[in-house]
Amino acid sequence: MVVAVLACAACGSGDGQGGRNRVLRVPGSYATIKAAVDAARPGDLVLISPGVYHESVDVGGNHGRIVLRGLDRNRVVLDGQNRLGNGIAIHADGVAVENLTVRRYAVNGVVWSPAGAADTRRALQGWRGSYITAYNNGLYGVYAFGAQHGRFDHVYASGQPDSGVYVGDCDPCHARVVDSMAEHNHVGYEATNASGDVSVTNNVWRNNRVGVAIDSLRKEPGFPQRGSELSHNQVVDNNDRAAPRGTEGFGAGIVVNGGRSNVVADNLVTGHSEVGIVVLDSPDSTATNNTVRANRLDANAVDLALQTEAEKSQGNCFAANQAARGSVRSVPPRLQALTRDACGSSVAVGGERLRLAPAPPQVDYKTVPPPPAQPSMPAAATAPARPATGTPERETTG
Amino acid sequence: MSGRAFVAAGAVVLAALAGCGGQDRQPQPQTGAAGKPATDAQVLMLARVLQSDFEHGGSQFTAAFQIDGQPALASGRVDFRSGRGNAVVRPANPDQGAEREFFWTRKKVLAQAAPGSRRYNPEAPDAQGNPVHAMVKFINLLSAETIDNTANITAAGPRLMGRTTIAGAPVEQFRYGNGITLWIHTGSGLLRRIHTSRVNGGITVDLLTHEPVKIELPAEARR
Repeated sequence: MVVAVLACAACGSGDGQGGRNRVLRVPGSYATIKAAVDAARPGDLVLISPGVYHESVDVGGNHGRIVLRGLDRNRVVLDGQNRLGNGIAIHADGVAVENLTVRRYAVNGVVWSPAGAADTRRALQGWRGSYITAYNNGLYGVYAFGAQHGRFDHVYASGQPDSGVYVGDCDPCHARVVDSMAEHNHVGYEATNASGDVSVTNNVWRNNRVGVAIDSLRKEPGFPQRGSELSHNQVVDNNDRAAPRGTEGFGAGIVVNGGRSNVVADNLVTGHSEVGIVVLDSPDSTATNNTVRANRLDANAVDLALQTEAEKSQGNCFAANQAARGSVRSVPPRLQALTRDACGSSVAVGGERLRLAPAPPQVDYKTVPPPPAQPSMPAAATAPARPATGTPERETTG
Repeated sequence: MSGRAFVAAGAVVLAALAGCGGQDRQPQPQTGAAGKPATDAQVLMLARVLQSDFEHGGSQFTAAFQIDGQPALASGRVDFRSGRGNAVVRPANPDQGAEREFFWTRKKVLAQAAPGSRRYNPEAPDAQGNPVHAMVKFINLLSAETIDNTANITAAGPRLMGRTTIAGAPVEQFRYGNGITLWIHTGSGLLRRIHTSRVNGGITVDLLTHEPVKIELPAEARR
């Protein structure tokens, strides 16, 4: 009998599934999440019971195509106690993380990134983060870096001194960010050097210092950025003085910072103390050929702004954006009239610059209040494991 | 207008250091380099090192760099939180000239009008053309409000080059990308020395203390 029990523990299942697509229960069969991950094989589900887990989980390359799932999004909590580095760090293809909370890690809540130096690695293939709550982590809430074919859905992120949700360094990314919310971060959603088939739709980015930042920066891999779409998002009141800060930036809804050929369309952008939507040059890159169209604008100090070199539009165009009250306020003035028919060509727009107020002082991210309970994933106890293989960016949301 | 006015692009601080000599690009990993790849724990320590400088407030420092191809030395203090600093700069060879004092903020550098003078002339920042300004810029980059980005650090291929001592204190030496070497105090994780070959032929900064520093600026700073 003792031998049988030990054998069962060693196989890690205890669920009678014959070693295929096993369910590895934490802490039922494994005392820690890390122990279950180390035992997992492709197709397995690591199913985590409610509790607070003080561990940093590293998913190495030998444990691809697995799913880590909490039974209860709000009661399965990985807590770094402001001491541990990352909550879950994934360096394997096809790993999905679902239905849990990560808080108080020194760096990131959950991060997908390839292992090793840039010259020795390939992009991670397949990633998904669903129904994750990430708060009060020291850098990013959820983060996909150097990874292709993936999605964030139903993520909630708050209290990060940098970005709540971040996609970076991929080309083509084949990435989706949908049905998610970030508030009380420095930036709600950020994408640096994320190029090609990036779609960010139907999210709420509110009450951050900055709502959305699409960056093109030479000092990170994958420069220059191009080709993402931001549509049907609610970008609201991103002037939260109680949000922590990374560096500068305050009171802006959507910022295209040196990016190229991005589309910002059909968003609601309201309540920003500096600017609703701004396209500008980054320190490294002239913003070119971006399209800003059919956004609904309200209560922004300035609704639209273009801040590029040489007083020219550089192929950027602004069209059919509408103010809920009165006319669209832009810097330079008449931006839509000047550029609406000039997508891809450069016309003179004038050189008026936005005047920005100083950013409010720092707020300790550790003191941002915890978020309210968030909706759990349906049927977490019984839904089959669905690793992030194939084209997770094409999957419909649950 | 800098995009930094709008966005938090700060979490790549070591990358900025590696590129601060002008070519502001992602540091390239060294191929066939000496040393051992940094472990995850060491990457985390590297990510924390500039944040630790900020949290401690400031430093007394020395800097060795070049002016017109000749070695020069600076000794001074920096308040990482306010971005203010003060240093006396002197040629290593006294025959090359007398020492001069500088103050700085994040927006300007104040140069002593003449050796011994009590007047200071504001100068527009010129990190590309003025070696003292380049030194100032480098020192001001040695702190960060947030932790650095471990994924970006890993991508740059940091390596542990060895262990040694500086002034009797044990340090670990790391090479980051192809431009930066850091010596980090064993145990505390505090930055003790940093060298880059990419600023005006090379600059080495020693942080002698990690403590709150207050810099009183000369009157010219208020103009």
